Amino acid sequence: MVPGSSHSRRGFLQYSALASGAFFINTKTSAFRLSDPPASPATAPFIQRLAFPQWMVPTTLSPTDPPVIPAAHQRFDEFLPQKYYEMSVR
Amino acid sequence: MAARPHPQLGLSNWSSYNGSVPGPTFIAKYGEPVLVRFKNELPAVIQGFGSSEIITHLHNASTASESDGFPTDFYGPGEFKDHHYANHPAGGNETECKGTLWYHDHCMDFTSQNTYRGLAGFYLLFDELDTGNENDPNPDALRLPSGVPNGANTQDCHDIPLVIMDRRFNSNGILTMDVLDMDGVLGDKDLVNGLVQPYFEVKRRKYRLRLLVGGPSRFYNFQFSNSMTYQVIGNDGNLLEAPVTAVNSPMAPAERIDLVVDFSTLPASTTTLYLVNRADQPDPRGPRDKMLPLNQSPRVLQFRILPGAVADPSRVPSTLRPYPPISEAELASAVRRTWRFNRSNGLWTVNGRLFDPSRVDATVVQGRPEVWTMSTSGGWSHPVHFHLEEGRILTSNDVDEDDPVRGGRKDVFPLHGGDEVEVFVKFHDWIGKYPMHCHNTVHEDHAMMVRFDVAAP
Ligand SMILES: [Cu+2]
Repeated sequence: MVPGSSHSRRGFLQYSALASGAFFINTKTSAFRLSDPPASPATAPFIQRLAFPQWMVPTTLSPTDPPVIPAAHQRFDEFLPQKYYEMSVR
Repeated sequence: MAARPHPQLGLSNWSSYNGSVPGPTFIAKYGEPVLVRFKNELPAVIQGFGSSEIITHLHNASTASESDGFPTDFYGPGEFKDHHYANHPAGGNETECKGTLWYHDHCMDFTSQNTYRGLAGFYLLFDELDTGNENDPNPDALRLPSGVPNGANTQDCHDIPLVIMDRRFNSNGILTMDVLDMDGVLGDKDLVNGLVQPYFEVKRRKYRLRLLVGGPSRFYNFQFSNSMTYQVIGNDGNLLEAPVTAVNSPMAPAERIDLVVDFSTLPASTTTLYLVNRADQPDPRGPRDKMLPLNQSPRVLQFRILPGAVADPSRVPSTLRPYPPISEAELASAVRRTWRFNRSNGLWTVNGRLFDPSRVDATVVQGRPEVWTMSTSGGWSHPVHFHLEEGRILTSNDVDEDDPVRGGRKDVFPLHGGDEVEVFVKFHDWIGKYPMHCHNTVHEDHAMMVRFDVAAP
């Protein structure tokens, strides 16, 4: 996606609808809902043990590559990080 | 990341924190600030739904604006952002300490899709009262059931975070989401901590269960299948002043209920028990007033009660954490604002307008009391959430303000058709821009959000 373009495009459509007072016929509202989405496949209940995520483990050193920029954070020196974590969003 | 939430479902692609859905659990402490570097290592193109841009919000934390995850602060693959979490109670006041927080994606227009794909996890905060140690010799410690599971290590774990998320799968068992539905998205499978209808083996003793409804749109009403009572000790992030005995707990998206249940009270013949959802919600409009009959309520989680008595050093004290006081002078001097969450010409609006991140809808002065009246006039439910601080319900047409669970200190305020709720709040510690929005994240993504700025006094 291209954030800027999609935001402005959708924003334009929405503002146009608001400004014109157009009645937005959404066939998916409950009153007009034509059909419910197809059901998920059947699954046998209670055959898997409840799972838990791991605890976050701190990194041993503060990030140096690139380094943290204290000036980018309010009251950073007052609340100096005692632990650093790296989270990979993937 | 590919994962299968049930052996009879297919391998779906999820977005994940560190390859885990839900994300890894933070065990944090007040007085111990941390810095988290969130690195975006998503593919440039996401198949199906969701965005490759992200921005992470730590829900219910008192966080500086630049680390709070404002929706337009998103960034793309190959980039990172450092979030500084001070773990400092609001205003430096210990009564403002909170416990059950969660982090999730908050990307402009894509929050519902990205969290649906798996971007959510727990952030648990402990302090000198709620120490996370049921054997704590410190006389001030609450000694609530303790021990948070760390992956497969569940030995001596009795403090159990449970995120419940409804999802839908196509005929091949692949995770699916109707992104054209602006009203909300309801799944037909309940996932607990990422798995469809799991079971949990418990000993005959007390457990702390931290329930979180992860959204996007479904409301729940949890009850044990034998209608056993339990002690509610916290709602949303905070502990209550005193535990409240309950049989069922209605919950909106993003709400948390912190409860203690005592399985030692069960007869020896009881070997299984279920957490069921009694909310009757046929469409995204919201739950009906009347609950489902108990025997028709979907089972979300099975408890397998192990035989034999065990030692239980934990307790539920009769007083937990006092609320921060609100003075008459603060109420009298409070700045009053009105926020109307409505459907306008088929669109989701606040005070008749769509979200514009460049428009400041309110400027509040740090430390100055505010009373916000939030309402909705239509037939739709909106769980309203504002960032940075918790609020206190002063009046509500829907809930008894003396009901500490529904009417107390909160960060999510579920509005149902015709509701009006008056909330007291003060914004401490940080300045900058923050959002308030509907936490039916589909409504949020369709612009049911405002920006408020906190300014220095
Ligand atoms: Cu809403």
